[in-house]
Amino acid sequence: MKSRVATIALILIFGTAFATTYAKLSLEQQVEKADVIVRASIKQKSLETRSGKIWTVYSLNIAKFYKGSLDTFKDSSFAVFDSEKVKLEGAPRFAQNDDLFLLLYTKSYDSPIVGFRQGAYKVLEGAKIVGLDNKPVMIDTDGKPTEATTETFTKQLETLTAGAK
Amino acid sequence: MKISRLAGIIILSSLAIGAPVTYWVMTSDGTPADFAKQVDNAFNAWRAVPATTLKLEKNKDSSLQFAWNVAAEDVPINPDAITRTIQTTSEDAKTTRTTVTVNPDQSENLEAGLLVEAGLRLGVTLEPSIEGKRGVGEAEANALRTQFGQTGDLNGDQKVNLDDLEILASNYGKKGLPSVNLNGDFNGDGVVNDSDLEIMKTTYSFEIAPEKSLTPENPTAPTAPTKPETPSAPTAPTDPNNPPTAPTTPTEPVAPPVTDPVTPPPTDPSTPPTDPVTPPPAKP
Repeated sequence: MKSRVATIALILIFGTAFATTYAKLSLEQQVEKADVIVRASIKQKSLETRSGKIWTVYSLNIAKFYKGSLDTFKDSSFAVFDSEKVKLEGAPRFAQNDDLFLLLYTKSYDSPIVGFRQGAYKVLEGAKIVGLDNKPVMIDTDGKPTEATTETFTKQLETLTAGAK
Repeated sequence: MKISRLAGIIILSSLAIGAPVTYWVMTSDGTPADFAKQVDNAFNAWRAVPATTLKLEKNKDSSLQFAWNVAAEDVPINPDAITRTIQTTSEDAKTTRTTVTVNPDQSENLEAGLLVEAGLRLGVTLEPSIEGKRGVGEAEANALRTQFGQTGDLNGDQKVNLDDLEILASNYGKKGLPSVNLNGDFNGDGVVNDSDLEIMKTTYSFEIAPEKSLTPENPTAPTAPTKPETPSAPTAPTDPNNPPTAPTTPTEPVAPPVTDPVTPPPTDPSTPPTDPVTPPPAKP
């Protein structure tokens, strides 16, 4: 009995231990790579079948473009190859009304987020910026790493996008 | 209850000791010749962690597949991803297949990515973002030992008991190569010492069987199983040619508090005492 319990426990551990790996990118690298950078909230989350495969599509209410424009991001939405039956491990997942900064590729990828999931930042309580791992985002302020706020993060994005243009 | 009776019902618990085998398969379509070797290397890095019972075999089970950019044409892989893991559940939800696809454009990070994927497969959670080369660190090795660590069963009889303790004692103080048959070196530091005994203590446990039933002569409720003192550390040898003897296993645990079944507890002096043994007279 104990051995069966142990086996089940190991299966459960194994069953949840997968992740996609990705190269670590700085915010500067992410800004440079992104085709589109927006502050937006998730308007709707839906499933769509494209070429016989199921994708999760997120449509956005865009508040501001920091890079790109509606000309290059006409749909104001992005799709992630992730569904219940075909699960992309470590995929960026969002809920309706999530307030986000998004750094995106416009080309279709399994995840169009720059850095796979690194280029998605949640705005909590209107001010605090965290990554999808819910860890605070640190940025340099006067040479010291400090937790980013909407204000400081926006400033950083504007500085970096100005440099990238 | 007499202490000798308690000692008589001490039993050693048998432990679930098995080494689960991890399987994987390779796909060959469009695969560079050294890809299989790179995947092997990733698993071998984990297999090399001392003091584990990890068993790995490849090409035995298709539930885990390592693929070289297979199906990337259908669903292009994110350019920053090193490996992409997809779990596909069958229509009847009975089986799940995991496919780890490699991004050929991230070849410089592939070794580290595969190491992480192999570690995750073995239940060791690792940071999925990769920055340069990485190996199996001490914290990660310890995490692997948590999954596959030696359990104290040194003679392989599926129990951790006095026999195993004797083996550990006979090797106590000995030094050697951690992964080469140094029985008792559970933490893999190359010496059998108190640290290994501490590990054995975690699996060397006792159970006290509950009493069979309540009787009028023994109205005390059965005692909940308690964990008595674990075996004490053997004395470190002063003479390497004269190893210590096996430490004494406690045969008489600390007796739990026992209430006297005959003496009634103190009661209110105004209340007439009742006889705990003699039943009240039946009503006519």
